[in-house]
Amino acid sequence: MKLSIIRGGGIAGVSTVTELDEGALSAGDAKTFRAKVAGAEPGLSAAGADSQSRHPDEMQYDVTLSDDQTTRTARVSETALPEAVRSLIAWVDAHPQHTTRVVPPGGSS
Amino acid sequence: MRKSLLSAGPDPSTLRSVACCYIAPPDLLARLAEEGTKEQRDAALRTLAASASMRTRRALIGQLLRDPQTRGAALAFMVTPAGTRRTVYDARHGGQNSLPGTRVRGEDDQPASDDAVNEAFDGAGKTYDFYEQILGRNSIDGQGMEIVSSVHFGTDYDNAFWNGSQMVYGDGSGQLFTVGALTKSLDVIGHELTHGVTQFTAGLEYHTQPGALNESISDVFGSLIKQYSLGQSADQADWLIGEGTLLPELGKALRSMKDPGTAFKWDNQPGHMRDYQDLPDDNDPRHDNGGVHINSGIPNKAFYLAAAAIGGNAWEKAGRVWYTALTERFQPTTDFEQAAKLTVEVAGELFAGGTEQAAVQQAWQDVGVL
Repeated sequence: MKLSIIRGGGIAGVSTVTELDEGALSAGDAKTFRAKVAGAEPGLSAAGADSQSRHPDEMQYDVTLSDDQTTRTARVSETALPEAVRSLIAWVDAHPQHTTRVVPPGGSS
Repeated sequence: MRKSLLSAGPDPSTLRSVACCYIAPPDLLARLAEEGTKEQRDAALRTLAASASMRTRRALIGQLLRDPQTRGAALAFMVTPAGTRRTVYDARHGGQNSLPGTRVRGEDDQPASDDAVNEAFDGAGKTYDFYEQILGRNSIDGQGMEIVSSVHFGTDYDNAFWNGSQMVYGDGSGQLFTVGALTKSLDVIGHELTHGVTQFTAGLEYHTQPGALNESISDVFGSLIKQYSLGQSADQADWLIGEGTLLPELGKALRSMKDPGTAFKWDNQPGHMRDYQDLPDDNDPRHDNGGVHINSGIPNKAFYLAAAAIGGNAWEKAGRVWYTALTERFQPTTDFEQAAKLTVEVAGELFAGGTEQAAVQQAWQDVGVL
């Protein structure tokens, strides 16, 4: 399973793409990762694919979960971000195996 | 100045952008405003201030006035308070549900032991002072609204924003923003609080050209607040937004009003309509609501050129023209060309017989809008 988080908007207008692949994790971390994803699932499902966001400088997120069979993306704004999803993102950010790259404003990933 | 019922807020049509923050039912808010602790009451009133429904506010006030037990409470919040009222909270790394957080410092309190708290407090004060002393505006809503700030939002959070009713600051991750830098930047604070002013006045929609204009207005007044605080004239100012907030290797600032596209490594702001970026308005995080932080470079440059041509302190004339246009002429859907014509018109009215109107006209021509 692979998780991709695209963050955009914000005061800088810069987007970042953060990715973490379960395959790169130790068995213990993979278990934690799956548990975090499972906890975030209800929030991601509820967020749907096109959450409206119009708060100035608020961040917007595309959270994509993919495995061999499926790819699902939830689009959610900062003020609608479920706590379990925030917690998952914070865990990924803190994990040494994650990668983050910047997408120039208006650029593609 | 646009007036509305009770003089307590803007026309309801100007508040459509905050509709999603109105989460508590009005009768619960009424109960909190009436019976709650001071903090609950203030929170309820802030929510009401951000309510999309003027009718709700009228109904609530009517309800409170009809009940003799609550007349005092109702009248207390209908009176426009004088002077700045600031409160800073600690979100303790929580998310949206943690806001505003734990109260750390109020208007009459001594400085806290936390730099972020004091910086957010001081920045809100300087922003309040600018609007009050230079533009005669009493706080964000023009009615003495308490300025609430929450610091330490999220984990290593790389942003600061106005959420429709309060300021929210992250600590920065040290990967994009320097840790602790967002509360240190007065123009960032002024930028964000000006989003609140725009919300309560023109209500510029936050997408495509009205959104880029909304962004530009925040850069204009964010920069003017810094210039006023430092006593800098137009030719002395750096015209940078968020100087020193990014990691130094990424660039010197978030934006340059004087020279759009040169502030940081990935800065691709245009300074002329020929380079306008027509991005999709589709909520894709990579598209920035149709490029609101990109195309704002064009009106930013127009303001800089007008202020530089007029000379002196930019807040005295150019700032006055833009503020009058924002608060009395702009509509939620105002685009660049309309903004240009309206600022030219206002410049002629405020400075009849002077060279200011021609300077504003020339500035918009130089960026290809007129």
